Amino acid sequence: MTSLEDTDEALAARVQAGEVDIFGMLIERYQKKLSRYGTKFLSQPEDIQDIMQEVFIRAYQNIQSFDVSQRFSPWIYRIAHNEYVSALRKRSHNPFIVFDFDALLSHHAYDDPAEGERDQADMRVMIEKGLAEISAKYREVLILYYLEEFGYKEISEVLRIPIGTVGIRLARGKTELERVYKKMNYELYV
Amino acid sequence: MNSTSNHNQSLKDLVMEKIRTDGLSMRPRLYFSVVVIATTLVTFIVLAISIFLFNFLLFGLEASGRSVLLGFGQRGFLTFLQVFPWGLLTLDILLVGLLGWLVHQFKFGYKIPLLFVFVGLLALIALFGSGMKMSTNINSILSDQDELGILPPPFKGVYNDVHRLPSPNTGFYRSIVTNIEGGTITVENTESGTTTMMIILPRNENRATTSGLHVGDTIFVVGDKDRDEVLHAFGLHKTFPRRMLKSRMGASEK
Repeated sequence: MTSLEDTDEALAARVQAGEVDIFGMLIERYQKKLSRYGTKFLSQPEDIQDIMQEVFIRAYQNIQSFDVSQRFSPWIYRIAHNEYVSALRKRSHNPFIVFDFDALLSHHAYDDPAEGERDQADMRVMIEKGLAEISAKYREVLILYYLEEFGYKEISEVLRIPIGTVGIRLARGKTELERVYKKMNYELYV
Repeated sequence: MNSTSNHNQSLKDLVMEKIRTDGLSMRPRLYFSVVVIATTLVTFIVLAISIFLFNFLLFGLEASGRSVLLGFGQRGFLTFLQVFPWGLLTLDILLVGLLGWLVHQFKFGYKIPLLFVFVGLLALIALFGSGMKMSTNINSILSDQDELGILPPPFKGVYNDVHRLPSPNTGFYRSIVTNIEGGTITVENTESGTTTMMIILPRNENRATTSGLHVGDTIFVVGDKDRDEVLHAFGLHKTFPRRMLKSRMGASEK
């Protein structure tokens, strides 16, 4: 028997124990979130369902690698991230690995205490309108932070980058988004 | 709302159908344990190779006499840079890059900035490579085996090659002193049979002096040859014949 109060981790443990049908519950819980994440990240949602299918298939195949003492959410988001990045690479026809200079050095990571709820709401509006115009690596951290409401540590786990790098990408992403949004607003009024 | 729940249902049903009927199965826990063990093993192997290569690089610098150039001032340093085995160092650095990527695969690996990982690994390899060269006799053993021709390919000849001097174009020679007359030395080049060469030493130069030198001594000397093939030296260092040098280096490694 399952209940809505069963945690994701408890459900995952039951799937690992052989209760395969329980995996359907995990799909129901995460499909909408991962679809939103993927749609925003990839900007073109027409193949999102195929990619989502791959995400859940991979999650099932690799469920035994999940450590039930950790949170399930970053684990499945990590699988989704890998699939979305693959899809992005296929689209760009760029087989080369671009070196990640943000992850090279240590950065001090902190939540901006001056960013209140109003600023966060403003950011969500800007994200809805201007996300497609900024580069993928900044787009992703903005989605995970402002839309999926992940913390720095969780984003670090999903993207497998140092926490300091999460902070630097968020700051740069916000700057780029503000620039794009101002330009869009300017163009609207020209 | 209905279309959304139907839509939700179809993806779930699609995936669950694949699980139930298409033979889609969970990878066993053992698979992931094997992956971790294999990655760990490969990491240690690459680390060991990197450490050995660094040890070999240091050994080669000493055996070929290149390291003495560092004591010959600015010109000696520039010549050292010219004759340094950059290929070997590049190979070692590439291995460090590979090691950094392997370390990144572990849960703790991605939390550390890449530059710290890279610099940390370089320091570790330099430390253990130097330690291997100074505290073990592995280079003597392998050198002897290479001389006997029993090192397997691709290592065959590698230790014999390491004793080879840089090209004569660099002005660097290993020679035996056959005559000393004031500030002029006559030598026999050991690398090229019995070719004799005259060397003129500069006045009042501590790095190139006949002080403590005797006929029969083996020396490293570096300088510029004039039209008459006379070498005007800016650096001279007494050393030992290759066989004696090897046994002395083996003793110091013990």
